[in-house]
Amino acid sequence: MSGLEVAGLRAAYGSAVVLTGVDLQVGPGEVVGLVGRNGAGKTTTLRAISGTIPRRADGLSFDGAPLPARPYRVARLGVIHVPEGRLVLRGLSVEENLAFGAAAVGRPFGAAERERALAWFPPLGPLLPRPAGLLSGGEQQMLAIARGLMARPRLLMVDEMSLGLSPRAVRDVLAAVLSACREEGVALLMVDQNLRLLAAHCDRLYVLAGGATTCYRDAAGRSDEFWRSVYF
Amino acid sequence: MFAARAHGHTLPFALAILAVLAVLGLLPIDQGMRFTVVLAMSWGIAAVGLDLFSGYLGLANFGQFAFVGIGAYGITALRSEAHVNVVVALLLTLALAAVLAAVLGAAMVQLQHFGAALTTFFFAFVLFNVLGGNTLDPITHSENGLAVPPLSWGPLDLTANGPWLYWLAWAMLLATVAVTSNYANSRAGRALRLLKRSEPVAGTLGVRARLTKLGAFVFSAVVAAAAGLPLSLALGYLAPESFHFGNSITLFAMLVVGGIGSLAGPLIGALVFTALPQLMQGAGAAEALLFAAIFLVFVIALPDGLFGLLDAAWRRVPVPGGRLGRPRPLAAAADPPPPVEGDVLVAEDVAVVFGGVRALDGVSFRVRGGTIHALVGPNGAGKTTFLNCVSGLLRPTGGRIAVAGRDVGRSRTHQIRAMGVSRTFQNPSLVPDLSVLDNVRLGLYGSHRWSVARDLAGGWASRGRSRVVDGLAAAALERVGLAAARWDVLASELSLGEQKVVDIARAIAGGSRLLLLDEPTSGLGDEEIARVADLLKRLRTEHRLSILVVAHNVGFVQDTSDTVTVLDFGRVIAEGVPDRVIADPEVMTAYLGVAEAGAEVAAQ
Amino acid sequence: MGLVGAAAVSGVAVGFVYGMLAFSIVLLFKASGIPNFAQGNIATFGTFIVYLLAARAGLPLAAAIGLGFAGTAALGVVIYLGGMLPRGDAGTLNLAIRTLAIYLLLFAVMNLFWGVGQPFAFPRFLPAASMTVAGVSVSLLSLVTVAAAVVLGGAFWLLYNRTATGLLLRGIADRPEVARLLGADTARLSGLAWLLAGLVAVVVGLLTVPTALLSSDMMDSFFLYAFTAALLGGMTSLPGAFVGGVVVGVVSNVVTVLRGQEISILAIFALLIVILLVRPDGLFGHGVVERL
Repeated sequence: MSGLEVAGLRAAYGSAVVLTGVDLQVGPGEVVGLVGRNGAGKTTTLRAISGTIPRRADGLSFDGAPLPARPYRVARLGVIHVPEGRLVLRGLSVEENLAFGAAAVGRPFGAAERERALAWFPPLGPLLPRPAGLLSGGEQQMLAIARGLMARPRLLMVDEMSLGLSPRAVRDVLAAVLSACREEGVALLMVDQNLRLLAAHCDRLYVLAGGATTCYRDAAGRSDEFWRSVYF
Repeated sequence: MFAARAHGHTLPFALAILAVLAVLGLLPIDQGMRFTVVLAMSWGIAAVGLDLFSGYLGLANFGQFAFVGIGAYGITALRSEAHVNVVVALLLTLALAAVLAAVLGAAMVQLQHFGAALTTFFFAFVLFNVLGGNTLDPITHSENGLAVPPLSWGPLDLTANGPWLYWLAWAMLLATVAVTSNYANSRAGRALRLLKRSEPVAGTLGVRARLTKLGAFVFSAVVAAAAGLPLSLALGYLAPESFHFGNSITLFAMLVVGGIGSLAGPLIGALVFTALPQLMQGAGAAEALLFAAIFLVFVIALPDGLFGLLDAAWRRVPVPGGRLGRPRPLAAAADPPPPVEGDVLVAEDVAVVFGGVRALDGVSFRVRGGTIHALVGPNGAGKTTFLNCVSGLLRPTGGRIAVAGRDVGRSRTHQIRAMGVSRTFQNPSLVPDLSVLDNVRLGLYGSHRWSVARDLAGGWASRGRSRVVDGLAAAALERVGLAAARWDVLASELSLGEQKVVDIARAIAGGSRLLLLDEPTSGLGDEEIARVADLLKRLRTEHRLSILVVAHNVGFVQDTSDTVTVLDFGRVIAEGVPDRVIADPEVMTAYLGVAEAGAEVAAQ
Repeated sequence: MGLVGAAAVSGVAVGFVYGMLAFSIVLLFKASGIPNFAQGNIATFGTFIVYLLAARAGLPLAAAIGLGFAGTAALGVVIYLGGMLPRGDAGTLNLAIRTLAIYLLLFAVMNLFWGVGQPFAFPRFLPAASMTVAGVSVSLLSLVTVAAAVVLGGAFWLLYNRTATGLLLRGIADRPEVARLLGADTARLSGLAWLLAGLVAVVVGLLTVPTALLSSDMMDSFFLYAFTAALLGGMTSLPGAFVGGVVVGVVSNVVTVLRGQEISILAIFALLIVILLVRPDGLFGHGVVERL
């Protein structure tokens, strides 16, 4: 069991090349972060991995199996990408969004699954019947992640979780995500602007610049000065 | 529309087709063929008129043939029942068509695509039933058909039997092509194409969306009604079946197959697909099937139509010295607008609330005239929301915004543009099928009073103003430093850096006192960022422009800005000179994130 | 009961037919975000299949109807695979225009193969009986129509709202990209939606044909009225389609009796414009405005 292995990932939008050679690994149960300046290609990296955009790579596999080209196949392999912008399904209620996450991969959704989701994200409890489009930003983010977890992935990739959330909401959501993933043995790959937060929690941090990545192991131990020089 | 590119300056192609038709008219062809071509030319007139609306403005319209019906029946009824002279009948009927189109259009321009499509289709259905029904029977003689009185002009016999009807139809087609081409390539036409690309951007340049759309709809309806004249004379007898609502869809299909948004393409489409079935005898339903299949294939695989294919092939041919080798207009030095003394922008306690979210929460700051002021903050802080308020795209829920002393909270986009406020966008939203120079000309849209009638009359009527506009546009492009060799390139072929610079040229071309720049450096490389920084400094120092720039890039801000305001979650958290603001720990936290959250979570 | 009253009652009956066609349009719209302009012609096509099998090939009516269902369902899938799936990311306007091309295509096919001798009288499958309900004469056809509407409406409502497949169908239209990221096979689900729309279309055709003669353009006015009904009910509301249908049916019948058919068509047209301008979400729909 080897988790996500990415080597030499390349991607472009038309003639604009964004990724020139991204390498990263996420082992089973690990928490890994991907940071970089605005426009560096962090979202592009996740979209390339999940197959949302066409990509080429020297190596792109999960648990030894090559990642398929089509997103729904990647998801069924156990890699769930929670895209930025929360993107809840607006025509459905909160509970239906959760159920959708399970149904999409053919898993059942009953009382047990509902309880599990609420145990990770208690604030969703009273919101179950509400149309998902009417939730606040933080609530929608929780829903998007919980919905992804309903598919029982082995790797969860979350894009810009903290975007547009208050510091308190970020704190709550992150705590819930980390504990849920730990419980379920799900590996976590997080892309975010909130550098300090990722540095404090990730086993490893990748910095994306110039279309390629550099890996930093002891992220928590580095100083602010160091990060400022890398980031700016 | 489905992202079909519109094509400018296609008049030569259309004229070539007209030349072929003229030659055909001079040849000794038989009666049946003549009838077919007159029919085809009538459809061609309707198609060209429709293309302006559906191709250049990009809105679906499935009711065009209904207006042809209104034209045919109106002219014929006036002539046969009221014994009115044909010219007067034509003018009255065109007026009727214009009025009906204005009423229908007033509703249509407020709808999105699906609503417009359904409404116009239903209108065609309504008209078909009215033509075949009892209410208008005295006029339409729906049971027996309405006979078209023979027409002659002096010694010329303009009925279907004589050769002169061909020339009448031909002349009307020529006039239609000329006028529509003038429209498409004029200031009014550019406005249509910008509306297709982005209504908000058009609004900030002074385009009044609904009025402009209505004008285009009325135009296409009037052209369709005019097509009714040669059509009715050719048919000799009008029956409702000739104006079945399915014809409007068929007409639209001809546009798509021919190449929507090119005038010449729809003309070819209409000519070919009207003439062919007539010429292939007794194969009615098979053609309809073939045509529908061709239509479907084109929509799926070739939405740009035949003309689009030709155009793509034509572009591959390398032409030395550039494609549109026009002589460079002299760059007239535009008078710099008087610098603003005091505060050019004042925001007091501005608040914007969307459904429970406070996008802006009591934002107050000032921008002094003649300075560069940066507005920074992490994603989602409210920067673009603020710019939208200043430019009139968004109305603040609370607080006050004043530009050069005048309150703009309740003003509309074109009014704010008239006050000298111009802006760029995160996504430049240039019109991809217009050249760089044409895109910058749009920046001058709101600067002068002009009329569509002059645009329709064409080149000779607008030459003087054209020169002025060209000069000002060229001056703006020189000011932003874009090489003259790039001015004729289509905007779709520019790099992102070039697009952003052209966006700035578009914003300053019409003269402005306050320039709002939304992330002019995002997505650019270091060199390009440095060029933009230089440009801003020049604009401020040499041209005394006041600039409010939204940016992410800290180095860029330090380099260019006199003062900085930092937003986070819709609130101002710091203000002052760049060096001091950037060293502020609160600002550091906003950008790099909160560490405390991490400590708390780790402790669990 | 006066003329107006009788018109209203028959308006309810025909309203259920409009409603059912609207229902099939909404079924597809909920799952794909696309208004299907060809839905009326699909209904006519399905009816032709049944007619040819029963009246020309001599099959027993029940078998012909069964095969008609199968054939039309297959037609729906073929239309999806051939016309909608290729370059399926071209945008809702492009996809909606494709349905117009299919409208023309089906019309041409029906004219080409079965044009000679139209219109045809469809074999009678319901006795022309009528009952008196609350002092009004109601035809058996009307009762069967209402019953079919209730059964189909109920069945599909259950499918869409109480099963996993229905949940998936409802979710893929809003954000198909997100649905795929969660593992949903959107192509298979969309194909299913087109298949289901085809099934309902046959029912609509069979309920229309006893009172109309079978011809290629049989559904032309029906489908415009059905769209109006769907919009009135709310393009995302299944029960709303029937409510809208009944309103359209009653209004058009009553106005026809009072002022004639042309004014009635104008009245429905005016109704359409008012809905689009004032309340594009209709009576029971939600959040459709941006998609239109």
